[in-house]
Amino acid sequence: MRSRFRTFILIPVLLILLGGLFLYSGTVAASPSPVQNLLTTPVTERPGPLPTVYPPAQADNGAQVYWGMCQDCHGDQGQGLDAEWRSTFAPASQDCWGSGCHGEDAPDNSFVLPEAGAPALAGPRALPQFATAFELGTYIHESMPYSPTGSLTTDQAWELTAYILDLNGRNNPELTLSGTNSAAIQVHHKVKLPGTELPGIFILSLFLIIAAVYIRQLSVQSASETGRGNFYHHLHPATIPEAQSKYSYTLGAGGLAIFFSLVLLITGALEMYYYMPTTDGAAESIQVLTGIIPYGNIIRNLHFWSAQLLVITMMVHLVRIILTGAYAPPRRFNFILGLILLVLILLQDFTGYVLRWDEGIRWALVVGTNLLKTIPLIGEGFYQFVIGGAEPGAPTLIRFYAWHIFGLTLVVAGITAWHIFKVRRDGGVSAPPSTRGEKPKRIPRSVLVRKEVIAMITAGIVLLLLSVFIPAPIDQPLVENGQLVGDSQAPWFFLWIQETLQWGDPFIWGVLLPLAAVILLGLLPYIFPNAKKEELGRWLPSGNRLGQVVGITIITIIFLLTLLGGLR
Amino acid sequence: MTKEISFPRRAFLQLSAKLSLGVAGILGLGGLARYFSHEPPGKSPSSYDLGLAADFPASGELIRLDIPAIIYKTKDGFLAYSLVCTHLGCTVVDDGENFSCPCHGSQFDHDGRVLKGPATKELPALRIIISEEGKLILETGGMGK
Repeated sequence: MRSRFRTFILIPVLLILLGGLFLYSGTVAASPSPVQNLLTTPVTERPGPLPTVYPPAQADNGAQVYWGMCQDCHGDQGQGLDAEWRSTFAPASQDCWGSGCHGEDAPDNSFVLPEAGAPALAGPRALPQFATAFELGTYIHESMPYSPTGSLTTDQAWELTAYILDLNGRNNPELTLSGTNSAAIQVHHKVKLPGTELPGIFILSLFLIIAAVYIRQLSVQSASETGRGNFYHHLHPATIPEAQSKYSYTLGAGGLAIFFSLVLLITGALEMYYYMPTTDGAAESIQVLTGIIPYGNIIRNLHFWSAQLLVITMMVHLVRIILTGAYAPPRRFNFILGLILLVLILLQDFTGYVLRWDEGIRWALVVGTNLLKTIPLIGEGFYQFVIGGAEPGAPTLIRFYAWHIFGLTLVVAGITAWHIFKVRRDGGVSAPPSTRGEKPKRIPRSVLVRKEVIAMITAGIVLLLLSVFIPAPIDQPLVENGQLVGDSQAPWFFLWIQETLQWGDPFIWGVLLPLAAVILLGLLPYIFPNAKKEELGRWLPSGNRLGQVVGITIITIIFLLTLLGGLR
Repeated sequence: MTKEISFPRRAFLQLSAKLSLGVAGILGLGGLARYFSHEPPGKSPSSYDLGLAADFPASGELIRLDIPAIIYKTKDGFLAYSLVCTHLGCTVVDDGENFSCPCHGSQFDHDGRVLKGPATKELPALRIIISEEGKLILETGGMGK
């Protein structure tokens, strides 16, 4: 038994080591070759048409666009429309303001040049009005070229931004600028991107696993060995019935929910040191966190993925409780506590999602809050209480922030503690009653902790892999009255409500229906027959058949609607 | 024979403690409700300058997503409709034929009438005036109307 446990620990450790080495070597091999930097060396002579470099970097593409559209006015080296640059023009065109093309009576297919000419784009005094590459790129997209304004594609605007940063020596060639990362890039300072962090992440994970194994060893020592119980002894009873600890029965879901909650608390606390709860700064601070701050990306991804996995784990936990009839008295009230936790966690996910304050959340926020307005009588007041104003804005963000990190967290922590306390109060996890004269088999604390450690390590590895390979979403900063690039799809855990909303009156289908579903689930132990005592501790007891059918029907409908919404 | 009413000191103290706690609780909740009942100022009406009426696009229609609204030039003058879906507030988009809502699929025709639910109310018409200098001014009321 013990050697099997060692093997189990050893396999992930080896896998992680190998994976880490593999990824590390991969990142080294993929570093950009110097050939791509040919164009970025300062040009002292007048460049002709630009050589094409393959594969072209973003700034190289920008150079092509610049050469075709921008350099007539802004100069071949971004020096602006100065006398020296104009001296390279044909004599008749050297006075742009007086010429036939851009003078007072410019022809229809041309334009009148503004008195200030065209500003320099490179040099220490250039671009004073822009702080971030996002501001610069947005300006280029909306206001350049001077005529016809707005004729650039989004991609061209980012390519030009990269080229202009390059002219100023502030481009990071390994980064492809876009709306989702450019708010983190400075126009006037060269931003240092973090190097590869994978080895660090994997070594840390390795030590966490080793620590978990040692902690388990601590719990193996009996209380008599150490005189009095150590800290870990107090987290678990000395022995529990074996039937209460079977994975095939519990699915480990309750314990994993606690594990994910702890990861959320730790990573969330770390995020708070960089996140800015302001409408202008929120998405930017997240882009800085994911793009610039060492280990910021992995911390945010862990937070994101723990939150998603927590919702899934809680749903699995709920299904398990229903299909084993475990909510029979005395556990009826704890079932309600669990459902309240599920609703609160969904609110946590939604408030956390809104904190991005990027284009991705625009419609979810509008729809989610307008839904409150449809509640008769109290709707309008409730709406104002939630968003803190007549329309979503800065007060909304700070309220969602307060709920997310404090209000909801406090309530969730309190009810979670109550939920766990009730589990123990109600005699542990539901299990078959002891038959007369026959004592149920019990397992010592050490075996229980080993099971917990195994479940935690497995879940931790899944969490880590998701976080390393699939980044948490972040879009470009939300601009009020902007160009509506927003995602019209609800966050995945509310996709089912987005579906029901299409069926008619928003109050009935968007508020009453979900509420009714949760209330009906909560009433399962109270209005339908419960599993008998001797049936407890196994799957699909006949005593609560009706409850199983009703509960699983509700959950299946929600699941199918979510799927339908996701495929749209 | 009257039954002696016994009301010992301890019971009195307990009752008083519970009563005071209850009153304090109700007062506290009331205070909390008042604290959160502050009504922020409503959305102020705003007006948008659409430029000279003479410069109106030849196509006869103009979409301004920042308002958001669509403005038509007709024989009788100018017409404007809000593009905020009357269902739950997403901005409707022109799909070539009608206006459709990306969030829940409501559809409106070009005069704002509902073609397909879940929306039930038509897109509201907005007030549009021509200023003394010949500029088109679009006015939106409070609360998104």
